[in-house]
Amino acid sequence: MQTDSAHDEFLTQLRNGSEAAAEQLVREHIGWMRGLALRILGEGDLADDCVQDAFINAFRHISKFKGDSALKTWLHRIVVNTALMRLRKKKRLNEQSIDELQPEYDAAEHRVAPASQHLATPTEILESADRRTQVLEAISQLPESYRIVLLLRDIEELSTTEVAGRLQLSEANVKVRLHRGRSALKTLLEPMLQGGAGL
Amino acid sequence: MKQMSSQPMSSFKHKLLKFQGAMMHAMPGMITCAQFDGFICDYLDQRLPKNQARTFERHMQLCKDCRQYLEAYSSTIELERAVLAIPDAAPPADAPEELITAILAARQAK
Repeated sequence: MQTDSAHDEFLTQLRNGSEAAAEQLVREHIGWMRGLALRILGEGDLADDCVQDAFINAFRHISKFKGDSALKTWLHRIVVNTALMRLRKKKRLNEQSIDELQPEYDAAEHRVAPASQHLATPTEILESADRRTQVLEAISQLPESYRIVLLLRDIEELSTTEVAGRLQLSEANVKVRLHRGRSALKTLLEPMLQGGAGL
Repeated sequence: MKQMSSQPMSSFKHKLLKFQGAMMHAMPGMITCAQFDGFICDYLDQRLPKNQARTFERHMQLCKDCRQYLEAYSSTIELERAVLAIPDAAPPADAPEELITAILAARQAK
């Protein structure tokens, strides 16, 4: 594991365009990035294309990487976004309207809920590879401005304050996007959560 | 927030629901389902002040639909995390050399 000073030096070399540093970055991270891309896309060739795009994107924007997260976290975000966009394209899915996916209320602000059925647990759902793919497809259909907040808060576990700083939003705005993004995803996953046949 | 079910409601039922809503607002510490939703993120982050957390939990005790909604909402977050988790460790780099070469060549070409 690199020391802080060795890590800073490595970042400097990457930003300066060092070929050796670029190769080191690729060799160090390509394994898990391929694994993740394959998990999302399900096809080896697509996953390799995705990883290539993700690295090119990373090299293109390395000057913008401020070092306020681990390199691996930053690369994870890039490869996930790249893979989800490819998944959406592959499945010919459309971006969904966030407004249309919010919960409904009646005139007295009571929830208008679907009829109660057995609620499937995440463990039950994730036993099936098809269901895992359906979850990924649902995430891919969220507008990017909401998806990025879910990634930063729910996956990378940044605080609301940190996300607000990264995205140059107010904390209130981050909270609204987080909640609406989660609510929308829940709506998309409703048939699966209700123990139905899936999306 | 999406309001109003698309199904038509009888005048009596509409009035009853409005009365129930008014009662909930009139009773101290009671909230509507819409307000409950507004608290969810802070509740799950354990950032609600104690009195608000009590109000939130009281609503959950009384409202089965909101209990189920929160359960499904929490499951959604769990599913998200499961499918997009950052891998703990990098597996052995068994990536094809051709892929590594292609990536480095594409970097040079940009």
